[in-house]
Amino acid sequence: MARATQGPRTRLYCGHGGRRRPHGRPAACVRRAENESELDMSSPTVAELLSPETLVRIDNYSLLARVVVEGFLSGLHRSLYQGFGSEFFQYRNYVPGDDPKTIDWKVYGRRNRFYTKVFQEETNLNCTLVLDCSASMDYQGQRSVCGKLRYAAMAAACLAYLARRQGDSVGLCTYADGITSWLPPARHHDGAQRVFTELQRLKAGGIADHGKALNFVAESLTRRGLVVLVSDFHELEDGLESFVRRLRFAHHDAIAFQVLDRDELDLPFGRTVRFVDSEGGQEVTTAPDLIRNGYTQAMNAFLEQIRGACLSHQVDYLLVPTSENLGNLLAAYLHRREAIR
Amino acid sequence: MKIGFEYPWFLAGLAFLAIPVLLHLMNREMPRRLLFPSTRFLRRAELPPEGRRRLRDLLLLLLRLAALAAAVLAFSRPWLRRAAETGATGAAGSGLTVFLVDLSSSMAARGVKERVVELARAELARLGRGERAALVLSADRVLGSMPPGTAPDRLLAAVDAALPLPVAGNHAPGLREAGRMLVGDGPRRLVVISDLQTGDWQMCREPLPPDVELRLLNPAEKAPANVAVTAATAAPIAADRSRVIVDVRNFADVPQERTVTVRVGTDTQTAPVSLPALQVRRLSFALRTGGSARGEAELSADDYTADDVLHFWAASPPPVPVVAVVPEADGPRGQDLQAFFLTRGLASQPGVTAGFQVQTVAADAFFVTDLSAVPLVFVLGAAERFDVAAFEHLREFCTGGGSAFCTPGAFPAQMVHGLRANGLLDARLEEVVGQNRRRGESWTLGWVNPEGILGEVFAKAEQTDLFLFPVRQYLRLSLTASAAVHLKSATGDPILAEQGVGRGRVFVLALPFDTQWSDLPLTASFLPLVQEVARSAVPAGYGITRLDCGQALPEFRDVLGRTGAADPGPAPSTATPGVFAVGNHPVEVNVTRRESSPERWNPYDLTRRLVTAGAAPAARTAGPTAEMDPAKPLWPVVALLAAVLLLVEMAWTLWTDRREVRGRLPAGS
Repeated sequence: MARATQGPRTRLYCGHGGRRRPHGRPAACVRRAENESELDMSSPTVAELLSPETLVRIDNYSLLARVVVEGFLSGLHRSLYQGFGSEFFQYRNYVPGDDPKTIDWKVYGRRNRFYTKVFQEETNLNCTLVLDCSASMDYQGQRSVCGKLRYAAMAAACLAYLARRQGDSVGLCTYADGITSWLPPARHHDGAQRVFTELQRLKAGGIADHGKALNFVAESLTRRGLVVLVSDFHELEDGLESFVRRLRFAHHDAIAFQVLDRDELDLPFGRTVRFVDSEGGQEVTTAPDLIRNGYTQAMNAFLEQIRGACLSHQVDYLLVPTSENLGNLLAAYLHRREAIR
Repeated sequence: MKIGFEYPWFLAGLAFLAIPVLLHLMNREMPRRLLFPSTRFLRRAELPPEGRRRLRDLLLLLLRLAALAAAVLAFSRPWLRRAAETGATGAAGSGLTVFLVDLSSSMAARGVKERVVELARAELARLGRGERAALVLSADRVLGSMPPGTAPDRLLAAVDAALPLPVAGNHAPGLREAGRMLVGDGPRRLVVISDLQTGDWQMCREPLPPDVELRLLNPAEKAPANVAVTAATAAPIAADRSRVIVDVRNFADVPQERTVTVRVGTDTQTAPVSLPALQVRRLSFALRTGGSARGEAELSADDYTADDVLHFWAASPPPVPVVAVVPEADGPRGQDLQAFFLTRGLASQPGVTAGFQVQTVAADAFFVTDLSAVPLVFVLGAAERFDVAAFEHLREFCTGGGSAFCTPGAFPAQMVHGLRANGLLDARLEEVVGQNRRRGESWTLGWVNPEGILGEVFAKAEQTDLFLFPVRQYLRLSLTASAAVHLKSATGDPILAEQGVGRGRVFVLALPFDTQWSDLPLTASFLPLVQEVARSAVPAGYGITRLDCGQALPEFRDVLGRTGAADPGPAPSTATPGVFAVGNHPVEVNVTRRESSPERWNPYDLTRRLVTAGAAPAARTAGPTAEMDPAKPLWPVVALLAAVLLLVEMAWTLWTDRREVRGRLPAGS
């Protein structure tokens, strides 16, 4: 579907305060709302993003990578590198130069050959949260306690909280018709705080350009890590598969949270409604009573397509209706993820 | 049983019932605008075109219509009454129409009479077969009547021959007479032909008999552009000249140009006058009376000529009766000295102004003195002799608007106490100054209130001897703030005080008209002092009796209740305008100016007043009557019904909306 281009409402700025990024790419210039200095009174606080009710449900879980990842520090996750660690990986023949400490003397006693023990290194995780801030994320139905973007921000904040608690690096990329904010994964305490601050100032607007944003993320991540996509994935059913394939090819672990309002799922409106597309502006005047069956069928097909694209590449997919309790959803998902690790 | 409405015009509001129906039929359902995340999966629904125009939610529409209709009916104030005939034995069967024709003065306006005859003829032509007619001619009373069954030709001839009288209308007797005729079975109708002037129908408070159809016909739909002479007073300015002040009032709401002509004796003067809408103009004329007492102020004619002429008394008014109360009728010399000085003082008039006629009354006879025609009473040292009845009589006189002038006598403390005890003066006597004076010791007056009644007369101190004569004794009074002081001594003690009592006043002089107390009666200031006080007590126009045509001549009495000298001749008639004198009392008789007013009853209001069910029916003097149950107002019931319907409609709407929303929600949500 062709979409109207959005006016130049945003300006470019560098999220690192002008410093070059460590991987040597051109400074990731991102766009932020021009009225950045204006405080939005509706902006949530960190306490609202990380509500105690939600945290108490996910507090016993860890956000673990299901694939080996690369990191600089020791952590909970299996590292790409083998060496010192607590988890035995395999034996290999001793070659001169190996540390004699790694020789397994019991095997030598049985086989009279030197074998050294190789351990799986445990490292920290680079967790990158990719958040869709397009205008379609601004919707809030009557059965939801908050809008889709707010809900997505809360989910992202919870994941960032879990990552920071276990010493992982957290990064954030928000996008709409362009990259509106890019915070590379950083392990230090200030990195997570910057993520929280950025999540607080999110504002929905613009037409989502998923391809541009996801390509940017894929190019920006040089180390294996965890990529969390939070979006409604509208207009992405065709491009999602290629993107996740690219992520998986780069050995990233990925999670897709599809945030939808309950209204989008069942179209609960009566009488005649003039629907206005929040991104494209197209208007459709129709009677929801008469088109409800066709709509739900199309919506289910869309959801199935997204889900299929994710699952076919071992990417976790989670449908997140904004009317549901976020703590329950995350706890159930993390529990399942730990179980199948 | 009969159902009616107090405000039937409100029933026209039922036409508004069409509005919701039309809106329901014509209005398309306006779609709600909703900003939705994605419209990709939405497709346009094929809405059935007739679905927007059909009557949906029919029950809801009916509820709304019923609520609106009930509200309109409640505003119309419906009532219900049931009539129970109790022995009505009037002429049975055929209908009866009674014509009540207004013959008050205002019906003499130009063209009204012809219109009255025309309306009566048209109404007579509408009479049904066998229907009887009757006639009541009404002005300030019933001038004549023709019983039911009178031939229409005779009735019409009587209406044609009837002439309006120069009297103010009062149709209560005429309505009562018509009510007597309108008794019996069959349709009954009262046709009132009147200009519906407000004053004429003001006294009509008795409702008509039940089931009488009232029909009001106004032969003068538009009030004439009337200008009237409303007042004319003459004041002598020389031996044979009088100044005449004429008030001309424009009752119309447009400016008028008229000419005023004043005649006294053989002298005539004319002046044009320009009158803005609803304004009064005052004109002054100076004419030679030539010894005539009859004056006439006349306006150039307009559509209503009855109030264009005003007759007035052009000669000097009769002397004003004044009562002087002395302690004893034949007391020792010195006690009636005050009356002597007073009589001389009031009798010395310049000659052209109205004088005073002093009648002396003893204190013990005061309580039986007729003060109805007296504006002023001098109590000259006699208040100390008053008993309770005399004080009560004096208080009634003052309360009714009279003025009393009190001076001390031999026992001033008793006077002050009596006046205070009877509510005539709020003062205390401190002492009698000079009672034990040394030889040659005296006081003088020192201050005149410039805003009081004496302020103008004694404005120039160098031209008066008011402050020069010696005062050997006077009462030192302690007054409250309610009393006004007109004179003070040089030491600041009040000498002449005034206190209001009801509509009248009480003057108290702290020294008597006695040369042992002061030389006041011997000074040149004495006459103007007494006369100014007396003039201030006489109301304007006093002495001339002004009557409307048709009013009864009052009985003129003197202070002893005597009706004057026996007059063998017939009493003068007040039926026509004119000026005459009864004894010494001049009388002006003119057409009532109440009929000049353009104020008219609204026909609906008058109908409601005459047919109102709320008023208790008056007792009728003849014939059986039909008793009415008092009308029961139905509007509270209808209003309650409207409120209930409105609540039901709101509850229904709310329930329907919720049900619809719930129907849209998925199960379990």
